[in-house]
Amino acid sequence: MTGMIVVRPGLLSTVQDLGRWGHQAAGVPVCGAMDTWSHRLANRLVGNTTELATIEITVGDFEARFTHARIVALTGAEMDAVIGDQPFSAPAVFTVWDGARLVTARARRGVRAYLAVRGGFAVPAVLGSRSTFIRGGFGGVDGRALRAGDEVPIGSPANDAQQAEPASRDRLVACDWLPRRGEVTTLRVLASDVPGHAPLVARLMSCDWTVTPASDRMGYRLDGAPGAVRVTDVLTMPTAMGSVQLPPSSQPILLMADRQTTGGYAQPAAVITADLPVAAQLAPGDRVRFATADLVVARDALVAREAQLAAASRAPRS
Amino acid sequence: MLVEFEPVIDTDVNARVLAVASALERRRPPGVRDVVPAYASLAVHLDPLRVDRDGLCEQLSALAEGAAGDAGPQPSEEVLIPVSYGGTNGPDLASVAAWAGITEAQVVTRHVGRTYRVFMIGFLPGFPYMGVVDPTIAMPRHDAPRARVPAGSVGIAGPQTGIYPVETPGGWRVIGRAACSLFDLCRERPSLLAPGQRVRFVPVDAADARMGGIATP
Repeated sequence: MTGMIVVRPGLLSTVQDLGRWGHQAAGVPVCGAMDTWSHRLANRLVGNTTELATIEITVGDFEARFTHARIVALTGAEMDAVIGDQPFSAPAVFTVWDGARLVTARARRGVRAYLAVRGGFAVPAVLGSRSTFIRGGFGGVDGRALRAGDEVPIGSPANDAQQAEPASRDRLVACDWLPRRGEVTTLRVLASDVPGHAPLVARLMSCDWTVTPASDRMGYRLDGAPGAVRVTDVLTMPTAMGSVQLPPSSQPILLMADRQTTGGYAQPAAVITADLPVAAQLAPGDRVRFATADLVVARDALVAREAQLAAASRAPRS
Repeated sequence: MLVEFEPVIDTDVNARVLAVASALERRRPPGVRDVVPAYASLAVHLDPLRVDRDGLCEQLSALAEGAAGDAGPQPSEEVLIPVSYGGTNGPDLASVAAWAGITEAQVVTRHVGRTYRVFMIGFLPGFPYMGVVDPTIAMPRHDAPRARVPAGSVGIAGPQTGIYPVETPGGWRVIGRAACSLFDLCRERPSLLAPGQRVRFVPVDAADARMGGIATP
């Protein structure tokens, strides 16, 4: 069997794809890659279609051994790594061989990296997706984080798969969009136009927020100046990735991939799709501020991000 | 995209939500990834670059208007959920009784004495939000959730009643425990319950609480 054997999983590594869609009405969260842009880039670089599964590596310290020769890519957070005895810096595309050992250091910028292999990580799909739903215990590898000793199967490349880019150990694309440690990252939001939400939106704009350690794939708890806004709960309603909830505590929660499908806190704003990958690369201690945008800005930003993805998918030939 | 009706727990409002949801599911517009109904709102999850936003807006408005007065699909069957009430299975039964000023037995009688509507599924796979609970026993949820609520726990939170599909932290008032499986990946439809269904609870002895949900014709 073609596979990858996990030697050290690091802080949290899970198999993810573009998410489990179509079952939220049954209470099943979408899950999937937190940074779908980097997940898709990794897949494209190895010649996969973007819905195949990658491994989302959090922070780093990931080590694995491959059983067969394959094209592999590592994108997302900026981190140093070694394949065999060859050092490189993610994002990168490289070739592995039977017995090749990949070892990553810790992310220097950003927090989540995506490891794609040609053919994809071929764990069984559950409800149409290979994404890991940790709380529910299904998807990915046995519904849990990867552990040392796990053998993750790798699929056969499709016959009509794109030509993979040749192995290049050069940096492929400047990681300029990743949050910078020590700086305040701006996340653009579409704000609710419900009249009663105006003070809640104002609250979100009123200060810079710090991502607290109580943050994970379900969502980030943000800490900021104490708030004087009176917030009441709402009748339980659906949620979306990037939705910003404002609970009675007035400390916002930014909902992410493993969020519950519905919630009873007010949702006065939502991060625009183009900025979701940026949000996905935030770590506890990072600071953010929200800026309002409209649908035109949101759409233009997304079109620009897609163009960036297309450009980054075309690796320079070495 | 969010379709919002009057934010109340109401059968007619919810029926309109479900009518719009099923119309969308019957013919999914391009770019729509998921349709999620709740009590009085409906989320349409879309791919922003593939969807015709204005067209979808128009379609949703038309569907929402057309759903006025439409009671939606009428499910003919009632699902019976056997529940073992009180004791270690219902750690909050005594406090609900005290809050209501009645006996525990009377709380149980009032809980089983109604047919509930499943308004939505959310929070966890298979977790049903059902109502409307008899106002005399509709005690509000705990201020802070219990760290661990056992799987199958039947709870009350104000006008809502629900069943925890798995062990989880939870803040609802737990009055009993059901033995049925709310979510099972082996089933063709993994969630036992679906919005619009009608549910009744049946009190059983702890020893008899082994059967799954039973549908009556």
